[in-house]
Amino acid sequence: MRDILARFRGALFTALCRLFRKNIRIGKGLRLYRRWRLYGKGPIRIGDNCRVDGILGDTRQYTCIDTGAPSASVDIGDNARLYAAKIWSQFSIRMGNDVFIEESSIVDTDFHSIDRQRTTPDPHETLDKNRIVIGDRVCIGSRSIVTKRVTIGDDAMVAPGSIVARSVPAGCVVGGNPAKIIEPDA
Amino acid sequence: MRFLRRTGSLVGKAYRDPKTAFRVGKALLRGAWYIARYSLFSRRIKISFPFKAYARVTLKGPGTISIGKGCSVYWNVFDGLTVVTLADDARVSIGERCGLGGLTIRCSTSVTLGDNCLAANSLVQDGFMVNQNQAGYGDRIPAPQPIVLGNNVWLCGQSGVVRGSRIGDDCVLSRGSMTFGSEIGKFQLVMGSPSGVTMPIERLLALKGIL
Repeated sequence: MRDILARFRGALFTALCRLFRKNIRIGKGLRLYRRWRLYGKGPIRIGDNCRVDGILGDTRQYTCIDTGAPSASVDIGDNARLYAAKIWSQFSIRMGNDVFIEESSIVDTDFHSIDRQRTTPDPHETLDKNRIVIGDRVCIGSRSIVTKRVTIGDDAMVAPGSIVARSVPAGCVVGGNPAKIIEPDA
Repeated sequence: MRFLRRTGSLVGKAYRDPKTAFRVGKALLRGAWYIARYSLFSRRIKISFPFKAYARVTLKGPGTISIGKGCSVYWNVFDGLTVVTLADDARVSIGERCGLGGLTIRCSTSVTLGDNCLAANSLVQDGFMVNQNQAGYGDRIPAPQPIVLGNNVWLCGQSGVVRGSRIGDDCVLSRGSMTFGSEIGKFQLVMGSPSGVTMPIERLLALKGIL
């Protein structure tokens, strides 16, 4: 019953996006188990069979995909599973297929520069520097943070509660602050 | 009345500080309401009396949960206590006289907390991912492993215990530290994320007069 409702909600959302929000393109078979928020005017592209859900036992957190500028883009591949993921893009965030994200935030900007005026946006931030690329079949655990300029390789896994400040090679498990390799995956 | 002012009994304490007494009474009543509610609607959840609930308690899932005598749930940054069991054979057991505030437990095998534990806004999770079975990756995500915390453990704010960690008696997990499947002895201060450094608290206490 829950699955049918989620599928219905997803289909409704996709249809409404096609009518009113042209910057959002969602593939087939979206399932909406909890509410989500898509904010901003930048292009958001989401592949087929996306599943949007919340964390069990936590009623307040939900999935947010926000774009801070019209040029900012979010690109998510097929079979994505987003459990209360928070994504803010000022430049570009790209994810592969089969990503699995839980209750963690992925932000590719610092929002303000570090000088006294706190100008926003920071003139030193550019698309090439701040781009976040996440590979196929990446798992990101709960309460972890992915900062700007990070590339996470295929099959990598981020342990819960870790802060990923540097790029992660493919196929390993990272954790901690800053995230270090806990065990290279076989 | 003078007699009441002097005595150290509960009645005397309540007479001297009626505000706190009212708060404690309210928490006890709320705890009793939680006990009644969970014992009526789910047989697998057992909470012993007295249970002081100053904040919201959320217990969910198909597994068994048992909370010992005299526990209290305080208000912290997030809500009060949240315990989520993700499998039928999951077991969460919390010892006696624990002070729990903002603690989140997500369990799919077993999580054991000893007596007299103190917990702030922290996370105890026995698998890498919460919805691991829905990922469809098979064995690629490491399987969850049980977590054991000893007696009198203090979990500071934003600390975390993840997958297969065993922590001895009287340990202190400092603020923001995360442990990933490590074994820690008795009476240690755990620091860092991922926590590699532990320091015996006896040595720290010996340094207390000098520093």
